[in-house]
Amino acid sequence: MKILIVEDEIELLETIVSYLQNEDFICEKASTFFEAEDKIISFNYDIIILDITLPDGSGIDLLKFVKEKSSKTGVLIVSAKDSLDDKLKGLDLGADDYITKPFHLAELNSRVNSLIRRQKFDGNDTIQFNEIEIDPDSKSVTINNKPIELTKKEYNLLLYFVTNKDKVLTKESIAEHLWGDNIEMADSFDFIYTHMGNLRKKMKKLGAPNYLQTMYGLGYKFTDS
Amino acid sequence: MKLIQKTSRTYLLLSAIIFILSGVMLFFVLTSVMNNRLDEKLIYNKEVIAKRIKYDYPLTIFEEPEELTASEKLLYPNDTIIFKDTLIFHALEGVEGVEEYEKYRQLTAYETLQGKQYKIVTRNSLVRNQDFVSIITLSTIIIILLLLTGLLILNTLIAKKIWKPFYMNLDRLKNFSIQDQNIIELEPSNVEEFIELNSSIKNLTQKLQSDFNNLKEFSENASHEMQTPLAIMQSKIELLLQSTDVTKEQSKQLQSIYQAGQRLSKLNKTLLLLAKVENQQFSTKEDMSLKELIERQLENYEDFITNKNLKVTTKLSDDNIITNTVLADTLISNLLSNAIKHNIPNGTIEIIHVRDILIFSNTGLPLDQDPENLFSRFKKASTLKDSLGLGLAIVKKICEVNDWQASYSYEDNTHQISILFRT
Repeated sequence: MKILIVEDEIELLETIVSYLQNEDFICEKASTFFEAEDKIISFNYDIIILDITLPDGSGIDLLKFVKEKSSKTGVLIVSAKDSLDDKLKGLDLGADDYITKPFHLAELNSRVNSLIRRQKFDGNDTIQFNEIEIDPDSKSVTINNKPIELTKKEYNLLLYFVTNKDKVLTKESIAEHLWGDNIEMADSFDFIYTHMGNLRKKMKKLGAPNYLQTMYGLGYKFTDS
Repeated sequence: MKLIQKTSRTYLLLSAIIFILSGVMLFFVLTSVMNNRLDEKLIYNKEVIAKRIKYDYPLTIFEEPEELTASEKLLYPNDTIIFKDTLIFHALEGVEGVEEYEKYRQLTAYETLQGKQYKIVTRNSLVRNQDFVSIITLSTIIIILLLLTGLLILNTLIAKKIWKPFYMNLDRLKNFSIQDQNIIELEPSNVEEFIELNSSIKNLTQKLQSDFNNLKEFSENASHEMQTPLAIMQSKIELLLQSTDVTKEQSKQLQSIYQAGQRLSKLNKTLLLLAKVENQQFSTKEDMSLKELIERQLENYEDFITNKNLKVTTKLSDDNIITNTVLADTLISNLLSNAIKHNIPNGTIEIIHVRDILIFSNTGLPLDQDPENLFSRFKKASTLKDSLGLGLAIVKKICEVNDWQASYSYEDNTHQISILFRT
């Protein structure tokens, strides 16, 4: 999987790259419009993570250019402007997803993964983690080939964990992923705890080991190590 | 009191005083002038009589004069002239019933003629003079009254015409809103003071508007500019959290930093949203079903509702409203989260939408603050430290830009927020 990350803030660029490299993606960096254009002309990418506001041009123009060159490339727009106009314009022009700064790296990773799934396998791919198999298309999960009944929230939780396996996911990032980013209720952390407990129980019932680790009061980690 | 009334009242009062004073003066001057004339005539008459006494002795036209009394002789030893006004009973001959006192001007002269002391009395009726003076005074008063009313009417008319642009502009100023992007249109006037006033108002309002716009832009830009550094901060910490060689102690500290950053970023996002709503950036409106929206939000908040064991009842009409989808979504989400947050365990939430009114009622403890402040920014219940205190400020802002009315009431342990969609 080859990803081009276009972001003018070097610090942010480096962070995104190092997080995604950990996920075994091949990452290329571009910090200016010119540099990005150059790379897009020369290489083919599966995914482009594109910041709309660049010092020497608009990411929207870059998006048009990408879609003209190869419409198969998935584009994830990143913007500091949480404006609907930008979002609609971007999606109209063929962007596949949109994320607003500041975002959680796990969320970005999860979006990139879902983009890849949609792109490569038309959504018919299943995600495998040891004995767990997730079918994003039908939103169903099997463990050891036995179907597991999950609520919508539990399913989303599991998918988020599996896409970000071996990573510490903060409570905040989980809450935002589950309830959207305008949730500001402290209670939400308790619900994560409840959902987590239920998920653990259901998975244990079907013979899956406890992959969910609690990280101090910080968050959770889904890992088999 | 209006300026016109005030000035014309003073003006009228002053004129009345002046006119009354001058009337009184006129009366006295006229009387004294006439008396002088009369006195001269009386003196002349006296002289004639004195001459007659001197040369025409014995007097034929008069009866034999009486002797002067001793006291008079003593009182007026020399020639003395006394003027005085006196009333004399007067009866018209042959006409019954016409009897009246008439005013006379009388001259009494004591004079020694031919070695003998005489008292000569001449008098002249004042009736005609008096009539004359009264007629003059009366006509003066009538003229004064006419003049005053005329002046008053004229004054009011002119003032109305001159002040008309002023009052029109005053009305426009009252309706002026700083959020309006329109420049205020003022009625022109040819009065120098008003021209000056108009240009000052124009400058002032333009400056107000531009300052307001700058401020709005500033807060929006500031929030925007903060997004990127916040994103860097957040992602760096998230990356750091992944590394295995962080000790438990360090991780705790990282967690504090991370949570503070999260809070800051939420706050920033909310402020940005407020600024955007204020800047009318959500202007595209569409026909949308409030019912669907509310049901979707209820689903999203399901965990929170079941956690507090709240009982939700809804009575939603199928009427659509026309507004911006993002704003409507934010509005409902904020109202609902507010109703959940400030609820008591096992409480109730009631959502009613009929025609153009939307009501969110929820059980809860009484407010620990002034309901006036409920919709203000950063006013929050002291018990909820995790709340930003911006939820209802956003609700209010959304209502403002849509020309809706939001109101709050508390009764029987139930908080009620109603939104009136004026269509």
